[in-house]
Amino acid sequence: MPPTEEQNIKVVERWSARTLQVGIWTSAILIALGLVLSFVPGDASQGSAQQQMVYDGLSSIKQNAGSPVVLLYLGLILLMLTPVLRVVTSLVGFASEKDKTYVGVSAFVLVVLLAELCYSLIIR
Amino acid sequence: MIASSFILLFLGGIATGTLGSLLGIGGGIFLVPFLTLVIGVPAKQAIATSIIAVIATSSAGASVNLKRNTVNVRLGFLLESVTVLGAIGGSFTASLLSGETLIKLFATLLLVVAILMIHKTRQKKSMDAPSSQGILHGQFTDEANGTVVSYAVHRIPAVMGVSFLAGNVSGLLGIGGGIFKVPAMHILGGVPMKIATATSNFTIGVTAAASAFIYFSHGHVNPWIASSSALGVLGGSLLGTVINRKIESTVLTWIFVVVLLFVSIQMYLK
Repeated sequence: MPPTEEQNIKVVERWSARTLQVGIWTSAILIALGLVLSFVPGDASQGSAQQQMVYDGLSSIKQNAGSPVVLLYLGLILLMLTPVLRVVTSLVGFASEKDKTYVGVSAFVLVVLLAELCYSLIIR
Repeated sequence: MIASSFILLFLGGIATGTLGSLLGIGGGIFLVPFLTLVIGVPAKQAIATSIIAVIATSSAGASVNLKRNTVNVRLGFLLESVTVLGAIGGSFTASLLSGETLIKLFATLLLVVAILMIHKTRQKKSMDAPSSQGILHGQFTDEANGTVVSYAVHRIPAVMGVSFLAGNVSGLLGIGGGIFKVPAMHILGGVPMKIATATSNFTIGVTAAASAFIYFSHGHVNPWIASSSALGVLGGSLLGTVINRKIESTVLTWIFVVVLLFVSIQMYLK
């Protein structure tokens, strides 16, 4: 029996929820790992980096390669990307439901989001 | 980072996440004062951490609420389309008014909203009934009392207008804007409280994501502070969704009112 419209919607929402779950759990594990490793005595990089007032975004990751703080950055960036993930999965969902209006609405939101993302990467 | 500050940040995060996901807000309104006044985090880092906390609450909450069918995804995106525009416009609005004026205005708005919410709880239940005039009809099962609730959304332009303003406020103060979106959906739109909070929760992460990357690239994200808080917020948010199952909608509304009044008074005192 072919899936009903309602079942299709449920599948899309469940898939959306699942990708979000993977995202936040991965992020949480990365962060937790990074924090645990930061507490290991003898990790000098943590001390000096903490004096900073400005954390220099992406370049900070390169500077601190090999230090657990990279895990923190990765986890945080992944977390910050989860909303983008959400918009994409919803867009795909609307497309599969052939809902042109909302494909448009969600695409608009995605474009604005990506534009701001690119803007913030470029000015650095 | 010393263990005691981690614990403080983590616990602060849990409290923020729990309340936030319950009420459909990001919790930034508590977190920013907590970080700056209690822990002594520099303002911009506090705001950046708060924005990440909003994302955490939003994504964690959404991962659960989507499965419960309490998120009206279409409504969420409709509102989000104007909120992101509001977020961009926010920087222009800010330059027009002084900081003091903004805070007083904000505090007054919160007070007005609190009064409206109290008034709403006094109204008969029939106001939430399905109507052919509304759009984006939905239905969900309220797990607190087992009832199946049908609803529709009314006064969309008004709700969108408020969402635009919420976007304005979001980037400036490091909040998600849910504090206005939930009442807008519930009072203006006639959306049941649990749908309003879940839908708001769904959207605020998107609003926050844009600001988050800008703060990140400007170097305001302190990885230790942000991580500790975020971890707590993630945990708290999931706790909030568990509580959300059993809590009655009217109790939820009253908690929301208390929060509004609390924050409003805090801002007047500043």
